[in-house]
Amino acid sequence: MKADFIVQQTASFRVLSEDQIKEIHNAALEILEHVGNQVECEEALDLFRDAGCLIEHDNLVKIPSYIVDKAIRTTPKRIVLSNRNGKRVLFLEGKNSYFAPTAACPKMYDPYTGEKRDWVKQDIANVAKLVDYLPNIDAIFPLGSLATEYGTDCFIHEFDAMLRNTTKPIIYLAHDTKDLQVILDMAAEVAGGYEALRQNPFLLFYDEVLAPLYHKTETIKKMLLVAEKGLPVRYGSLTMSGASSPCTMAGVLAQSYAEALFGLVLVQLKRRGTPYMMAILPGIMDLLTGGLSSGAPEYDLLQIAFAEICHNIGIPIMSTNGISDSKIADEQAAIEATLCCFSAAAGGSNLSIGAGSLECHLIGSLEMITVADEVLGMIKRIFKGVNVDENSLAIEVIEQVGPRGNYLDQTHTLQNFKTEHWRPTLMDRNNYSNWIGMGSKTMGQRANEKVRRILEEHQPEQLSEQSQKRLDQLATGNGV
Amino acid sequence: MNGLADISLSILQGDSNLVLTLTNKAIEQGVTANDILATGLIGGMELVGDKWKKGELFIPEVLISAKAMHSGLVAIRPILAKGLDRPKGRIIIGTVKGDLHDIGKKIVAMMLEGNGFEVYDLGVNVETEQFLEAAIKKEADIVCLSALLTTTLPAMEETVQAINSKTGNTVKTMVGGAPVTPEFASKINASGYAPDAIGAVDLAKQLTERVVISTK
Repeated sequence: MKADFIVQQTASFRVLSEDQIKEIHNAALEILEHVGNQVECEEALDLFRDAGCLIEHDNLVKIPSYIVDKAIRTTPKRIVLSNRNGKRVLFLEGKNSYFAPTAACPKMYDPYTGEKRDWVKQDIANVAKLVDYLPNIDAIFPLGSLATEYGTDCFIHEFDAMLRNTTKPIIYLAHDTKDLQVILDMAAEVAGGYEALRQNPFLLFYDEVLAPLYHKTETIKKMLLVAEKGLPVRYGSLTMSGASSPCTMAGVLAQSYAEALFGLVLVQLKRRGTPYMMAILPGIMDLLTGGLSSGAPEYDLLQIAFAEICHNIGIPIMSTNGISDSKIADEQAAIEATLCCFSAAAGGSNLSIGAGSLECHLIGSLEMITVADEVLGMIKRIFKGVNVDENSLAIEVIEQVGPRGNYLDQTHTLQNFKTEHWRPTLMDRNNYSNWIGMGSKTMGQRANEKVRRILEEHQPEQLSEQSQKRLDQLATGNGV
Repeated sequence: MNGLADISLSILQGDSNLVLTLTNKAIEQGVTANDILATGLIGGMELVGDKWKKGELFIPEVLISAKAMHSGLVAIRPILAKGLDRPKGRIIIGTVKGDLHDIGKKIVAMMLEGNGFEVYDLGVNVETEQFLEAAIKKEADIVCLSALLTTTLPAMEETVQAINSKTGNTVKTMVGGAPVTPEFASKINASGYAPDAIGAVDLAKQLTERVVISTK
């Protein structure tokens, strides 16, 4: 037996101390109470006013710290997302980490021709199929935008395509409360009603703050509608350090944290206990090109720190994974996507979006989703940590094998290799001769082949014909 | 001429006070407003633009230089107004309807102004009618449209078409923003596309080449 034996089960990565987190938390409270956030939505202003907040000229809302504290207390510390069948699969609590692709890229790379082109609905269906198959991608976000084909109805059709082609939980967008209502009706149809949907939600609403400190009317209206239904909301800034947030890291954190808390307070005022996810996309403005950079190392640093700050108050947090500034799936993309996957995991953020994102959400790449899936497999292995016990210390086996022996045919190896060694599906470990024999393929080519194979062979679980018919009606506005 | 080179240099250094002092000095010495503008002020911003292109200057430095140029511009504006019939070019700029993003647009507006254009910034979420009204009222040469959201690109198309038809293609249009591409620009019959602020300045210069500055 052992006594007082402490185990560190997973790898640990810390950026901030407890005291630093507290300082940033207080700075955010100061921003909320003294600097203020601007919102023009009448209902939001009423909710804030009735709660005892100060509304100044220009619809500047100042929230006293005690109101923020109260709201944090009633916000669920865990969000459980189900799959389309109602099975509870994503436990967004503690430091559990799950992963999803990005959304809204205006262009994509065709996996068959390599052409950079607009998205069509079948492409979104394909992304869903791919995600449905990949073991390390846990939720679907559409990757692309159907705005060219469907205008402002695009989000309905993106949701429709995702709903039909994967059972995994769906992160979704909406243009305004009208198409949002259609999307929610479609989800309720599949779940078997709004009550069932509320108990086992398989969807998470996504929207963004307009940094600095501004909350768009249509965004707020959408959030309030989702909150009214008791369904989960994710809200935070896509910020650009040096342009829409301070140039200094702690300033970005304080401002972005305050902005996300603003949404949290509002949603709790609307309906206490609404599941809410804090979030950030902590970009920097590249001060040479004037463009948004997500591949910057500051991005990784900031999202780890932000996760730590949110864990301090126990609220689930969404960050990013797998994003790159590169225009193609090349070495730069691989480097940046990997660091981003790593920082999502290292901070223990509960959910992250981004895989497949090139040129910072402007071009979607299915190959990069498979690359992210592979990288996440490696990262998961690292964070799985080292198990120290009699079996894993293996002293008996070491003795048995002895000097100049080998472990290959030992029972111990046979019994443990599948759980101890991660298996690649894209990384190549063949020797040179075999690699030539197999076609001397690059990572990019192998990723592309994997995408095609999955699209051609994988069959996601289909919805019933009845459900599909009903969805047809709702999606085209013919179902009342 | 030395004095004008000094003005350019002080713009490069981003020294607003020095620019103002040297501009006033040049005015006292009888240098024409046109020369101060073209050689001293715009010349200074051209140096800035070159260094920015080469990666030797960064946006915060460029913006400080633009502010410095602006202080010189304010000093000669009263004199300019008497002499010139039309400035280098008159530009209306704004973010299209449905879109509230403006950081990139502001950088473009500052660079255009720094390069001698008269710029009217209509802000964000601007309706087609507002763009049209401003273009006609101000006798603009170019209307610049910015967008970040893919869902607002139809608004950009609508505005460009309205400007083309209602002004008989006399007012040019320039489009830009993250989701905008050269292909999209030509599809909607915009006069041009620029990928960034420097590109916007170059394109604006090209589009206004034929504008003749006459004096009464």
